[in-house]
Amino acid sequence: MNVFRVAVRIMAAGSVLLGIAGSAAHAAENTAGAALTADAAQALSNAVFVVDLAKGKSALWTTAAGALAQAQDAAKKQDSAAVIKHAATASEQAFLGMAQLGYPLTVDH
Amino acid sequence: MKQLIWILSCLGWLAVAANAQAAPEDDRLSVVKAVQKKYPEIKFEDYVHGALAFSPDAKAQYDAVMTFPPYDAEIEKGAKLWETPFKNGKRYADCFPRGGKNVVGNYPMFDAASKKVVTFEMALNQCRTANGETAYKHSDMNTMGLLTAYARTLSDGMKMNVKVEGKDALAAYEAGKRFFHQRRGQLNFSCAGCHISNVGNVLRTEYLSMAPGQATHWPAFRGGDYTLFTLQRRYAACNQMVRLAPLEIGGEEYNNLEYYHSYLSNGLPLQASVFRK
Amino acid sequence: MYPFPTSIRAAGACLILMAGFAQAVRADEPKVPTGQELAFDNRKGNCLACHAMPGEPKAVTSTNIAPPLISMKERFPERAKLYAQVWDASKVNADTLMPPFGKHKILSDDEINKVVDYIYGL
Repeated sequence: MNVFRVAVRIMAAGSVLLGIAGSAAHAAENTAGAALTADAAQALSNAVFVVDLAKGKSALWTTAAGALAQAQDAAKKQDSAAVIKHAATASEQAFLGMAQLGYPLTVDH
Repeated sequence: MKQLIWILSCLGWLAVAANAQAAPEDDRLSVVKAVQKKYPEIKFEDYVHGALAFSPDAKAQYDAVMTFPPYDAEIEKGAKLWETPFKNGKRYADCFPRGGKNVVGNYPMFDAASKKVVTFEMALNQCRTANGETAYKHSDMNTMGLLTAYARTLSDGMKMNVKVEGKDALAAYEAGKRFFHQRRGQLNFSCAGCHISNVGNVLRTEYLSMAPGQATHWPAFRGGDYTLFTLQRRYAACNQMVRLAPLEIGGEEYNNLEYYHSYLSNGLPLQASVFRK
Repeated sequence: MYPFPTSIRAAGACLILMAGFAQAVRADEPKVPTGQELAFDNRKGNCLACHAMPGEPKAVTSTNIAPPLISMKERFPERAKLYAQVWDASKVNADTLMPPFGKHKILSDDEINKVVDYIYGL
């Protein structure tokens, strides 16, 4: 009986430690170093990538840049939901900005 | 027979050479003629007044400010920058023909060696670095802004006279033309959509100015605070207004844009450091 | 049943109070704008930048760049066509100056519906 209880306690401690290590690893992925969810950290790094891509093509909209700034602020406050929301807007607006490069030139009238 | 072939091939070469200049000149004439057709009562020389050409009230306000410009002190700061010798004793006036008088209308020019457009502000910086000084940042209105606010006035009255010669220059001109006609920002506007196709129409409460004439009157001291805007700072502000993150002031895109944009103003008189609301 | 120690009861009471407080804060969120407010807001529809509204006394504008918004039901018998025009006007006129409010997500679909409902009555 005792052995069983000890085993359970060791396993519990182990999974707690794994949990901490896991979230620390994810925390290392985001700029604030705070504990965001994995989804939030991924969304943020996606947005950073896409915004940089648009900037490199001189096609970055102020709305994309602004949303990314809001996502980064939310990351500092460890607000995963807000990070995901703003990062999604940043990515969407950055993609639209790059798609605009393919629009036809306006014709003079 | 030989003579005929010789004459025909000479004419052929002339046509090719003429064609190199023909495209920009065709563009300019077509844009100017469109304004003349829509507003025959506005004189060509008055295109430099832009939106003011459509509103006698706004023009009167402008004239009133221009009699005693409140920003004269800023232009004097610029004069001091221009006249102060470099550490090696040379001056800006030594870098330009005629001591810097009547040179601005030739800019932007295309430098065949570097294969790049050179704006007047870049020429000012080239003068600095050639004489052992560090270049000014193009976006810094307190250094480059003030310097050019004075230096450009030395060419007041000169007609814009931008040249596009050779295929590399033409490529830069075409890049600027493309920029002018490309939709940008979340609001999806192109420069041409307003300033070629909707000249004289009212957007919100402002008349849309015609493209020919726009590049002649910079820097401008704008609004109640008389904030100093170089032409490229104005490009950045316009881009921001249509929700495009501004590009680099003094960078290649804005330089090519200024090359095309200034060509459209060829034949119009320059006047620097004016008021705009 | 285990007896709840005082500390746990206090914590429980705190949680209940906090939940109540959060509810109160949520109730103070800004109210949803009307179609007219969206149309007039220069961060949203900003319609008055380009369109006069001759039938709307509150609409003050000097613009003449685009058709005035009047008799909209006659001009757009199909509401869907008006929605499409606001969503992406360049489909009808490639050189239009009208921003694509839907395509570029300047307005959400819900906001476009509200604006369309409003101008459909002009």
